Amino acid sequence: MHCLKLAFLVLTAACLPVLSVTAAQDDESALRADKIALKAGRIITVLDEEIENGVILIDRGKIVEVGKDVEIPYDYWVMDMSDKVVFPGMVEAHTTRGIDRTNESLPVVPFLSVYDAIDPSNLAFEDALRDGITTLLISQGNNTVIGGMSRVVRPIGRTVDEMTLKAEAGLKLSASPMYGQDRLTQMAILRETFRELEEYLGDLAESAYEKDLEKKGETIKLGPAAAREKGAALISDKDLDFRHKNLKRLADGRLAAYVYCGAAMDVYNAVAFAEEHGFLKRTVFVLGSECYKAVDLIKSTGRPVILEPSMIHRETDPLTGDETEVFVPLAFFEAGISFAVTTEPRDVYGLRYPWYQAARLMRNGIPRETAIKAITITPASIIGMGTRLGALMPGYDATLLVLTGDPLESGTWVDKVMIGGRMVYEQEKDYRLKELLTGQEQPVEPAPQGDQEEKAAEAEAAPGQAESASEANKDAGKSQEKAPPSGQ
Amino acid sequence: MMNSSLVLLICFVLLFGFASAEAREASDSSGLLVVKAPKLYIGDGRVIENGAVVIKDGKIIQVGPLSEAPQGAAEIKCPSGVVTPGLIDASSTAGLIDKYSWTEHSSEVVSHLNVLDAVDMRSRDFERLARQGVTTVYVTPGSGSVVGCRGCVLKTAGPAGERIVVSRGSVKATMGRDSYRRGGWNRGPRGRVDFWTRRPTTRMGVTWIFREACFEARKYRDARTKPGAATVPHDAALESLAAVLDGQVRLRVQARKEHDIWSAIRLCKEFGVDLVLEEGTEAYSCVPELKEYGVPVVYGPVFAYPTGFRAGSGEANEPCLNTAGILHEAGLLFALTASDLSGEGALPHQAGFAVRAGLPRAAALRAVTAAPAEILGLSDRIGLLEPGYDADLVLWSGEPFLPTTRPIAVVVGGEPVHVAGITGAELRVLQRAAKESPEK
Repeated sequence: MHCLKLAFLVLTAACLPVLSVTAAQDDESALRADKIALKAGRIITVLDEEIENGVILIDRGKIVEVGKDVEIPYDYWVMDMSDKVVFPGMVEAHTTRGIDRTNESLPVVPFLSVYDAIDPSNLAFEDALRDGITTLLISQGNNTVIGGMSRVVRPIGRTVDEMTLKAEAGLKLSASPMYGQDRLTQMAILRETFRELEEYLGDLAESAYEKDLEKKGETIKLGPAAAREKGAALISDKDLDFRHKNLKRLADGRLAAYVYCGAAMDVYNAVAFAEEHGFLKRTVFVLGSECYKAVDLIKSTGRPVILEPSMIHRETDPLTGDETEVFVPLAFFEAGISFAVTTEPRDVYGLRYPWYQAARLMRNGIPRETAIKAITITPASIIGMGTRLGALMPGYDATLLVLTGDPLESGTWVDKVMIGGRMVYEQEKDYRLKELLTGQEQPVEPAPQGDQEEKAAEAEAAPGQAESASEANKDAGKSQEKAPPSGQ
Repeated sequence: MMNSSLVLLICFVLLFGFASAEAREASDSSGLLVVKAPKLYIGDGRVIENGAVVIKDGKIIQVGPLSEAPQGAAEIKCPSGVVTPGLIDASSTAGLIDKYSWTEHSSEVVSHLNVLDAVDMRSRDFERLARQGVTTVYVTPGSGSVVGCRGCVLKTAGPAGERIVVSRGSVKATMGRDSYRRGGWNRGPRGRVDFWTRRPTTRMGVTWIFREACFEARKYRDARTKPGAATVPHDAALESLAAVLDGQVRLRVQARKEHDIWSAIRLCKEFGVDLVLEEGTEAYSCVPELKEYGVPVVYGPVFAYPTGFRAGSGEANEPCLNTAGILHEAGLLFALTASDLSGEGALPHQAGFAVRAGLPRAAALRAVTAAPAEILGLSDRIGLLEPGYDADLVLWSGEPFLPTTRPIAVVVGGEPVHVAGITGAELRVLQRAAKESPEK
């Protein structure tokens, strides 16, 4: 218990200086409280009915109870958000944000992991908090044949370990050709990789069987095929080399596969391949816009899909020049396929916000319930976190957003973000956002000083002086600059 | 495939009978189009509940409650919709088919040229704009010349002969880096002089060229009004600039940075010329100067990170999301623009994001209807739902500018140019069929 508390405090203290948006410093007890009662004007549970004027009880980072008339025990710290809306933290099911280069030049790299590439200080994570994304599955890009291991992270923490929620979230594959390659080569490489895996495993099994016989002092009586069969039971993951371990896990169905299909024809290849090599049941399709044409095939597999952010497929008629636009999620919704909606962090406008993407779903005729699920529980389930994230129900993580209004309204902002029971973002203290909104430089509070009084007093005086001096300079400068328009 | 709450009823036969030449019959309600919706936003702040807009011969003839609408006419209605005037984008790049036709490089001062000559009227840009609810655009020339060519005002769709509203609009000038971003080093290979080497290389050069052009225009104008004017050779560029100095032609100045905006105001003051500020990325920090000189602003697009040609300019790194809100609070006349953006960056979404950042909703509607109309000098023709105005309007599926709202029907010049659920091709086929059909 002490260890847990210590780890909790250390983790909290470690996070504070990293983020430019720190939690309330005058309410430190709330920061460290194990037990929190969140009173909210409206709670959107996603999996259950919406609750007006309800309470969420949180104990050590987990939601204990959600309801309208919930009795608050005496030892719970009460946070009053009665004028706000509480919503589950939104989930990004597939993204490359936070890593610098998204793919290797080698086509088959199942031994790589995004663990080595995630930069916790990347601005994308700060933006994620600001926009209400509390969980991300970070994976390699689509320019690969068999890519590396993905990871589910939260956008807080100073190291990747601190950020990690799920270390080995699935392997990335692509049925769409790598840059500079064609589909023939792509499929050939895929097949060859698994054929080679078979051969490798066979050899390993055979030698394991032989070693085993040697140990027992017996002689080999069986032929190679039979020996391999017997030997297969003797080998485990730790016997495999780094090139084959993840592939074997994939083939055994022990690892999720995120298969990118850029065009509808890639879906056919992907389904056939995954089925043949035993991982169709763990496949999640990451789709390009044209793949809505393969919706029937995807439906027959029963697997979920992740849609790319533009969600629109445009085709220009070569004869008339007419443009047709198809809103892709509609096809999946009508087919009853589970789909997650993603965001484009480099977009300047709505595509960077999950709530905006959900609003686009509604704009095109998809019901609100499905739209809300497409940014919360559906992506959470797809990445294997559906019992912990994406909804506000007892037993789920206390990872939620406090919003100023309805999540799908464009005037709503994220006021606070809580991850695992800790407040990690407050818009009040978001100086970067304030500067962007007002165009004025915001004063940043000096970091908490050391214990010595002298030092504290000195430090307080100095920045104050420096600040006022620079401000005076700024004023002088401004009045100088003002002269030219009226003069001359 | 539409939601039941977005059911759209159109009487196509009657509707396109109206569009055909034989439609103007004696009957009372023939030739009329009525657009009905639970809410009409007139554009000046007034809202009419359960209203109808009556259109005849490409003009609005009546705006009022449903009860007063004529019966038996062709109608477009939506049970949950809102009608607004057609949106006006006061700084578009529609129809300029390739980047190099944006700017004429043969001289630094090209105020005699018209951007209309470079516009492809059949460009798909206009269809896209119409689909988004934008019915009128001011096509602005590129910013590669210090004193650039003249813009034009076009309807994005509608009857072919009525699409050009103003063929020779404002003269555009550019402060800032855009005119010397390319060919910047001003060095010809082996010391050769080409047209790149004549260009300015600094802002000092830019302001000098502007001033020199205005001086020459003033001299030219004075010489042409004195005896002996016939001996002064005609100079088209100076002719246009002289008209600007006389206040007959407006001047638009593109400036992003604060000191460029100040320069623009300073230069215009020197020659006693009014200006309209275009882009104005840092206008939020120039409010006192803009107010003092009475400068309307065509502001946009709203962004946190610049895109397109703004990104490469190096001048768009200090944006303020709430610039529109700040301009509104200062009481300045301003319009929002989507510039070269479409899709989710299109004008209705620009307005939506401006509202999100702090602009009041009613001001946002004005900033894309009545305000740009005023800036373009067409406030008696477009931008409001009033009798006598052009029949340009948009029927939205709900409150305009929300991410959940889309245009159900767009009417330009009395002709429906976009109807949700029907592709452009199908709409054109129907219109052609109606025109050719012998029925009333």
